[in-house]
Amino acid sequence: MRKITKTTKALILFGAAMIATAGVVQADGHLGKIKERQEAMKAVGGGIKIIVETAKGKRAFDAAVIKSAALTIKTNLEKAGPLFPEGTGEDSGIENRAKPEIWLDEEGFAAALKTAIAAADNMAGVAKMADLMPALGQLGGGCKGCHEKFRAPKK
Amino acid sequence: MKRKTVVLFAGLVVVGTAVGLFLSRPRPLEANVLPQHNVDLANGKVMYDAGGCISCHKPIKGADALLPSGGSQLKTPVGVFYPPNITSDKATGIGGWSDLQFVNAMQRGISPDGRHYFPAFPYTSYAHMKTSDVLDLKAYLMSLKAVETSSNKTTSIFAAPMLRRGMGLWKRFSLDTRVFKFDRSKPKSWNRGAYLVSGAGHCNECHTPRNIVMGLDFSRHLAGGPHPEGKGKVPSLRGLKKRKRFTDVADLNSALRFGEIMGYEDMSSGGMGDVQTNLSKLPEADTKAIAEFLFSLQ
Repeated sequence: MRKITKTTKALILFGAAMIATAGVVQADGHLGKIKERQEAMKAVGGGIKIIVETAKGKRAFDAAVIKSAALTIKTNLEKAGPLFPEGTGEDSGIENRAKPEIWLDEEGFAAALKTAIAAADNMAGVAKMADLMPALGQLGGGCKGCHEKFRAPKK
Repeated sequence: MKRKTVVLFAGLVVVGTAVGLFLSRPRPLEANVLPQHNVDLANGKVMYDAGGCISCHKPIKGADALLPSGGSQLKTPVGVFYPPNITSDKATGIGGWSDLQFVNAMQRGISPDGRHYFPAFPYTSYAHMKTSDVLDLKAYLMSLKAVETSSNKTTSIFAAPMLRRGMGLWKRFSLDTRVFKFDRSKPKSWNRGAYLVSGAGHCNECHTPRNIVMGLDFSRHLAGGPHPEGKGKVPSLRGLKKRKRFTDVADLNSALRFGEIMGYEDMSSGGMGDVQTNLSKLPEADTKAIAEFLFSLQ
């Protein structure tokens, strides 16, 4: 009898520890995902900067540079997409700007992301300066389309 | 003794109600404020885009997205509003309104049937517009296609009729009806920018914080504050250069005209995306004027 009690106690303790660990891992996982997607979006921003500087004439047009920037944007958008699991929004306790609309309108979010990825893909094919501005309109519009609905204002 | 108290109390209630009703009564403008005016449709469109009318009077899904037939939800912490149809439809829009009725709505927050509007409709800013600009805006709205709508829902907020009347008291503290005053010591373009920001553009409604009676606190003019929808902040528009938000007037103008298309990533969230889309339709001289004025705020 006594032995069973001990085992039970041990089991309870073990169980509790597991649950606690799971909680920590979960929170850790969320934090990790938020950080990862923020890094990905920073890389997207880096790519945009190169293209915008070219459009503004602050940087000479170079199709290879544009292509590489566009592909950086595309890859990182694709990477960021799955890094928005439910529970990682602005109300998660971890500071970030993901609005609840992402999960209230999952289809809309996926569609907005898809539009941006397609625009990045289109940008990668820009071969001359004359085509840059229209492609940038589409790409920047892609960023805006998503941020308008799904990104909260700064805290 | 007891009876005396009851009578006294009843008397106070009656007097209090009478005073409240008197102080909160709508005080519309009279027809003599309307100037002799030749309508300028192009200017009306500028006012329409500067005001971004379409953003709040957004049509419901399925209706023509370019016409302000209203009915979409405007969510605020006090409740949901349904901005009405402002197309020229006679029955469900504003096609039957006189010029004076329109001016009273825009600049005094009073409906054609003589009731106060809630200031979710920013007449507190439109009050600073020149009446001629308001009339041009009306002419422009009348020139758009009429859309017939079915819903006449206005708001979900609690005790709306009583609060509506109470707005009359609120207006006594918070509705400044002075038309924008030209500052002769500043360039014309600066004044144009300041005029668009304070009047039609109604930038203060979000970018200037509010005092305890929810009136705009101009001692902190355009200094940013809590977001009116309840979460997050609206940025300050002061010291844009010092805070390294924009390098110069041209940079800010580019942000207003292109927004995130030119990589200005903070021009999209919190409702600014819609605002920027509307501003991009203004003549470049006007966005530049707005940029010049904002950039001058220290």
